[in-house]
Amino acid sequence: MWILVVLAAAFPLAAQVSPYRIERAPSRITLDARLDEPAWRDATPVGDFIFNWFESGDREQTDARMLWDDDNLYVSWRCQDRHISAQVTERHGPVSRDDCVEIFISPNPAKVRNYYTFEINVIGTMLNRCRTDWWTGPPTWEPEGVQYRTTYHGRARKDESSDDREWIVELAIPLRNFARDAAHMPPRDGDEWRLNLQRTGGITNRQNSTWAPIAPPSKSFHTPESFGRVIFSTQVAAAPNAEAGRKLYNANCTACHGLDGAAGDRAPALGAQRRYLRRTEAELFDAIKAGIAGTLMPASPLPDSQVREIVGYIRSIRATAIDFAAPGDAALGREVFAGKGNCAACHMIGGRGGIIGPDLSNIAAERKYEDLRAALTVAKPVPPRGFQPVRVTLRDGRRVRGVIKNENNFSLQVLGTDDKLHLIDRSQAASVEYEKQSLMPADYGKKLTPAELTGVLAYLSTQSRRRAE
Amino acid sequence: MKTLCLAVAAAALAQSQVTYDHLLRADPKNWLHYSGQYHAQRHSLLKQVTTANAHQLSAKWIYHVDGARRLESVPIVVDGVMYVSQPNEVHALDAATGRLIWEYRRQPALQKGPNRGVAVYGHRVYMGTPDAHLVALDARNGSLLWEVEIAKASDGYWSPAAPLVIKDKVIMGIAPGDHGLNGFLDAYDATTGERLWRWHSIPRPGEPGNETWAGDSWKTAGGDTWLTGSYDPELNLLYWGIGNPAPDFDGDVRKGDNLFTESVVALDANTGKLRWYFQFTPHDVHDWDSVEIPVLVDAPFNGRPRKLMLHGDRNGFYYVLDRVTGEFLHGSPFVQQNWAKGLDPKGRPIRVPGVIPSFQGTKTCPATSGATNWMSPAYNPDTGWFYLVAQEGCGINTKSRDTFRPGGNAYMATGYIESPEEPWQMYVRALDLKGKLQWEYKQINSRRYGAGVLSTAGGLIFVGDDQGFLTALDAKTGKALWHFNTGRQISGQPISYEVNGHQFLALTAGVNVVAFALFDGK
Repeated sequence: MWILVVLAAAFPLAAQVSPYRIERAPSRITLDARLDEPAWRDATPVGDFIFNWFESGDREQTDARMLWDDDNLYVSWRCQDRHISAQVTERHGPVSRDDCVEIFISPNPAKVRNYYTFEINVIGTMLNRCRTDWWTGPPTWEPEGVQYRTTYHGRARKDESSDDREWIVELAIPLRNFARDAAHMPPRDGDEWRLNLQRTGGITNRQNSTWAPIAPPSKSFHTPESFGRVIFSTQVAAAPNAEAGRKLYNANCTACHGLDGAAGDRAPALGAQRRYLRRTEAELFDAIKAGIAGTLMPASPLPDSQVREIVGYIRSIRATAIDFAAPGDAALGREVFAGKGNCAACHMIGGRGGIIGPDLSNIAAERKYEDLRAALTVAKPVPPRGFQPVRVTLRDGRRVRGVIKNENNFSLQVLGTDDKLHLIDRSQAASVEYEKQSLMPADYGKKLTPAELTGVLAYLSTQSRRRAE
Repeated sequence: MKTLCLAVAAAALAQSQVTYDHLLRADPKNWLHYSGQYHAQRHSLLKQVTTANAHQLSAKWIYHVDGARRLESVPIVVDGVMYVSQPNEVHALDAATGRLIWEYRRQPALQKGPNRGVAVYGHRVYMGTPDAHLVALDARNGSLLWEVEIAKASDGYWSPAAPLVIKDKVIMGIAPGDHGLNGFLDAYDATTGERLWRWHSIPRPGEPGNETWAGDSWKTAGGDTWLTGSYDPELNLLYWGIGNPAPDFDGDVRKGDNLFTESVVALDANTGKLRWYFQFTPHDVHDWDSVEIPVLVDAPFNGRPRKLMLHGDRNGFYYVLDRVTGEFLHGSPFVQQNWAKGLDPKGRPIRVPGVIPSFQGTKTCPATSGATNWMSPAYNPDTGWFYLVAQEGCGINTKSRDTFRPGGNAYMATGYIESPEEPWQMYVRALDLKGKLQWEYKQINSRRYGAGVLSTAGGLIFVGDDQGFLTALDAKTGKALWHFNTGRQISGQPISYEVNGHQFLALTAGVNVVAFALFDGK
């Protein structure tokens, strides 16, 4: 352990940013530098930009979001800025002197130094480079089919003005530009790329900021080792404001229903999976707006927008782990999963790991976050079907320990702790002893530190294959 | 010429008409009723297959019912012809070979199911339909003779039960009670389809029993009749189990005993007049339909010969009644239960306070799926024991405020889930007349209903399970003597019949009809 501590002290690791899930665009995106489509509204922001080399001035924030479809990667930047200026109009000119946004992309995480750059200033001039080990062309690069719009698109120049508030860049990059380095084209659910989003330039209050922090001592955006991780998700972007909905729910609905979606004295738990509960957005909206005739459920006087937020909250408490950004350090969780937690001894993720426990590659789409936590910290009353531990002694004296995949009065199909299948005729078994407890440990709340536990949960919360929508 | 004569003789045999006398005598070579005979003992007198040779049973044929999903039909066999149904369809098969003779497909091919089987009388085949009609077909070629409307399908009614023919009447039940539709039992003229009588299972104002419903709650009250009952020709009494009250889980809106839900009723078969009733679960709030088949047995009880009725109820209790008077003679639980402290001297349950559905959910044993359900029981006169499929397990029952909406919408006021503490478990149990457990056969890994049981004079109990296994048990010990994996969940009860000197066992299993007989080297 002390070795690790010394190493950590000698080479301080940069703060890391959580992986960003790029979700599918739910509808067509019009490149007009307005960002008023529902697609952008529902897309998740990457989070606050970091001012890596900050000395003084205002930290003006950037709201950047990404979406994708089979053809394009879409990127938007909404930049707070009280001093907007630009004058470079020449293709591949030095746009980073102007108010400018950038995205640097490594489509292959194993070859992070193969990256592509897109730098666009506020009047719509772009600079591109292809920094890869196979590029033999000029220092600049001509990507195919890139489309974008900026707030002051096509102007000869933009000078600072007293009413400057914010500016926007909306960009669509055809994914085919990355075919040479990407694992799949178009990307598949769960594919990981590395990239960074940046903002630079301007005259008054000139600052540099990035999404993924840049590890010192580098003072350059061209530090692909520091790029953040992005994961392509086939989930379609849809993110109602659940937190606002929760507050509205707790303030307006808890005369009958319980707090936070629990059961109340006079009305059922809305978070429960009950067949009589309304499910779809429209059904829930109607139930709240119009009430449920013949029941105590009244029509709500709240405006539609607030009803929608309550609907979003109710749907959120029924959603699974993948639907929300889990707190905690997923990278740490991944380490614990393979190491200290010993999870990978029994569980497989993405084709690697043990076989005796359930495959967890899609667990975030199957379980709620709270259920994942409970699985790690609370013992189940009975082992789940397919994972009942058993000890069988055969008439010839051999012993088998494993989990029962199937059984009836005449045969047992056991997956042994030796990772072998044991197909047993019950008449050949001298004894069949069912163990009361699942093989799954439930003491991770004690075994792991709080950070490790939330890390594992964050890691598990990203495990999802394609979801049926 | 000689060959021709034989062929003609065989053809005549296969086309012989079923008379009331046939129905009464129920030649064991045939399987003429849903439950084998009027007394519903499901005990075949055939004894070619015995405890000594059951291990030689082998599959003889499989008939696949095209488009089937999960057959629950019990085949009827008349002189070598088998009639098997699924919703809106009848298939007539050569019972020795499984070869199709004719099929009837009614339009539209509605999948609303199940259909539990047909009845045959004269040269007619009778079937209820998903749109609540009674259909009569010609048994020889499947031609439609007539159809009559039992109830309005647009109201939500449908007819899954197998008809029961008594004299010249076709008795038909109805479903569903879970939609707040009131049940009834009908008798139709077997020749013309004319309705002869209707008995309402929910008494209307002015009729005895209506006072057991608070306010107008009797109007949307349930009480359906979705399984086939039994009949005593000497008493001319028809016995039928009645389903749950509606809304199923919210009793607040229908205070009272809610007659005649959760009862067995004895009706005069000629007139449909109520002779007596016995209510197993007054004011039920757990959806414990009492439709389970009343089994009629003549046996000494408490020292004197009596005409008895045996009944394993979904509420977890086994009952013995005097079927002449309806007098309660005995009741005892056959599964773990938590809702009643016991039964009082009249057989009325003494409720445990608080075991009623709640908004939060209340642990209730047995679960709503019930201690038993549509799976037919059997009675073996040789052992004198009652055999039934039992489910051990609890549910978490919840309620809400529901509103009746006409047109076939569920009116249940919510439902139940399996209790997470322990999974459900299926058993076959043998009870003596007093309900004392003689043996049990745990169906390992079976947690949902499969099929009911068949008893045979060969000393065997045949039972299918949800894992697709048909198993032969020794009726005296419960020991498994033979089994066969049919490949799909079994939901229909086994039957036995004889053709060409061979005893067959047959049942619907998943999407197929499968028949077995002793291996004869061919």
